[in-house]
Amino acid sequence: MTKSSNKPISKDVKIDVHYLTRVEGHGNIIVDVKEGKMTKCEFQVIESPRFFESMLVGRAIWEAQHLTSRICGICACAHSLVSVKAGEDALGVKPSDETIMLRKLLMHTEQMDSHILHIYVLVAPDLLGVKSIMPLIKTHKPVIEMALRMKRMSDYAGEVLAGRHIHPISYVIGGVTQLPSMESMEKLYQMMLQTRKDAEETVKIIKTLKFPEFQRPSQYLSITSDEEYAFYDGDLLVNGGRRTKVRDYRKVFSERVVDYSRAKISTIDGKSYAVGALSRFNNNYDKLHKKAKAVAKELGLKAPLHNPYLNTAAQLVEYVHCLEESISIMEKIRKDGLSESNVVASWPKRSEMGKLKYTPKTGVGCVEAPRGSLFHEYTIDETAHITKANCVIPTNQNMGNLEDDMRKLVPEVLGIRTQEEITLGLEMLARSYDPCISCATHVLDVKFV
Amino acid sequence: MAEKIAVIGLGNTLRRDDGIGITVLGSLLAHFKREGVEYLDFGTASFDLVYRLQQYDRALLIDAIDASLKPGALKIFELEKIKTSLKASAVSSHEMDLKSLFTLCRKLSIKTRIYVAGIQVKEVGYGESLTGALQEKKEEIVKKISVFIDTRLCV
Repeated sequence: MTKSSNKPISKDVKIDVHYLTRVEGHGNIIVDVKEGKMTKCEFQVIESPRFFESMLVGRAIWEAQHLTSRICGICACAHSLVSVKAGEDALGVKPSDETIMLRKLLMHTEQMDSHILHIYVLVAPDLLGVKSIMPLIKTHKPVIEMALRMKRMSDYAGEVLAGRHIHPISYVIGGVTQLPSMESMEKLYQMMLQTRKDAEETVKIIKTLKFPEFQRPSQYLSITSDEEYAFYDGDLLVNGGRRTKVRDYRKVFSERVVDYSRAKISTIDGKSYAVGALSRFNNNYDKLHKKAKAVAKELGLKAPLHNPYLNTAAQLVEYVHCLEESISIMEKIRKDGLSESNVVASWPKRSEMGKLKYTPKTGVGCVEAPRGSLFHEYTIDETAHITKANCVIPTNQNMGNLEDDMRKLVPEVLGIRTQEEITLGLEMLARSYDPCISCATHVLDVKFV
Repeated sequence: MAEKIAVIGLGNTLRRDDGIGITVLGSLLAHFKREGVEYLDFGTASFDLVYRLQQYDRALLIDAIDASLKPGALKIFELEKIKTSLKASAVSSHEMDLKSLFTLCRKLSIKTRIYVAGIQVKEVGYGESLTGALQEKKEEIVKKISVFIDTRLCV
C-alpha cells in the first residue's frame, strides 16, 4: 500500500511504501525529507533467509541441497547448485567435466526463466504506466503469450535437467541422480531454437521502452572467468580490480546488522556495492556471446553502466547470451551424448551417514544467481554433518546500494517531481534490482461468501 | 479422448503448515494414486502454473489457506467462486494469489476448471514439521481429498 499525497513538492517529502508490490517477497520503502534535508532513507526487509541456515545445522552434507532447493521458488537451481558446490568443497569431491557442463546448462536456463519473468511481469507494467500485468493482457495479449511461451521453455528445461521444473532434486554432490532422457533433451533443444525468435521480438519491444535517467557509479561485484561469461564458477571481481578466490569472500565484503531490517547490510571497504546482471555486464562484457553484444549495442548499452534502472536491460542481454550458450551445450550433447558413468553420482545410504569418517572442513560455494552472487558456506564435522552454515543472498548485498541510490535520487528530483512521481520512481528503482526479499509462504487469504 | 487431469501440491515445506499441500500430495501418491491423473509438486512457484494449467481440462490445487477456520479444516471449492483479499496490483510471482492466477488464466482464454482443496493453517513460521493440529488431521484430509478426486474430479 502506498501512502503519499499528490501535492506539488515543497521541501518536505514523506514516503511510506508499505509492502512494495511486484517484487518477490515483502519490503518497505521509507523516506523522510524535512526542510529539504533527508532524515530517513530505508529499504526495510521484513523477511529473512537467516532462519534457513539454522535448519541446515545437524544435517548430513548430502541432504543440504534438498533443503536449500526449497529456499526459493525463483532461483531454486542457484541455491541447489551453490549448496552442492559448498558440499563438494568441504568433502573434496571433484565433479566431471560433463557434470559441470550440465550444471552450467541448468544455470543458463534458470537465468532465462527469472529474467523473462522480471522483464515482462515485474518491470514492463512500470514502463507502460500500468499497475500490473493484468491490464497488459487486454492491450498486449500476444506479447504476454510470448512471455509465457518463453517461460515455458525454461520451466521445461528444469523438468528435463533437474527432475522438476522447480525445487530441483536431481543435482547432487558429485553429479546427478539420473541422466535426462535424450527424447526430452531433443524436445528442449527444439524449444530453444524456437525461442530465438521470441528473444529477438523481446529486444524490439524493450528497445521502444524508456528507462528512467539516473546515474550513480558504484562498486560492482560478480564472479569472473577467463574462459567465459561466468555464472557457475570463477573468482570474485570488483570493478575490474584484483581478483579474489571465492574461498576468501569474507575478505572482499563484510556484513553488518541494522536495526530496521531483518536483512544484513553488506559493504566493500565500508561502501555499498551492487550484484546482479548490471554488475556481471560491467565486469564481464568482453565474454558475452556475440549475439548478446549485438543486443547490447542495439539497446545502446555500453559497459560500465551506472544507471541501476538498466539492470533490466542487462538482464535481456544476458537472456540472449544464455540462450545461445544453452543451444551450444545442447548441440554438443546431441553430438557426443552423455556418459552415465561420468555424470551419475552415488552417495552414502542414510543408514551409513554418521558412521563413515571424514575430515572436518569448511566448504564454500558461489554461483551467480539471477539476482547476483550467491554464497553458501558449510562447516562439517568428522561425520560430514553440518555444524555451521552461512548463506549470503544477492538481495541483501544490494540493499545498501539501493538505499544509496535513493539518497542520491530524492534530492535530485525535489522541487521537480510530485510526491507521487518520486514514490513511483523509488518503487521502480527497487524493482529494477529484482529484489527477492523472501522465500515466503503464499497462504491464500480467503473470505467465503 | 480422455480428459486430462492434474492434482497439484503447493506450498513451502520449510514454513511449517504452509507445506501441507506438498505433504498431502505425497500421501495421495503413496496411498491413493489413480491412473490417468498427473500428480505435480509445484512448491512455491505459483506463476509457472499459468502455462502448466492450460494443459489440463481439470485441476485440483492443494494449498494452505487462511480463512479463519479451525486449524486443519478442509474446504474444497471452485476457484471461480471465491473472493480473496489481495488486490490485482499486488501481484508478485512468488506469492501470486490463486484468485489472480485464475483471473490471468481466464484473460488468456485458458478454460481449465480449477478446484482448490484449501487447508486452514495454524502456523506458518520457519520449521519443517506441521503443527500438531494439522498432523492430527492429515490422514482425514488425505482421505477426503482422495474421495473428491474419485467422485468429482475424475468424472
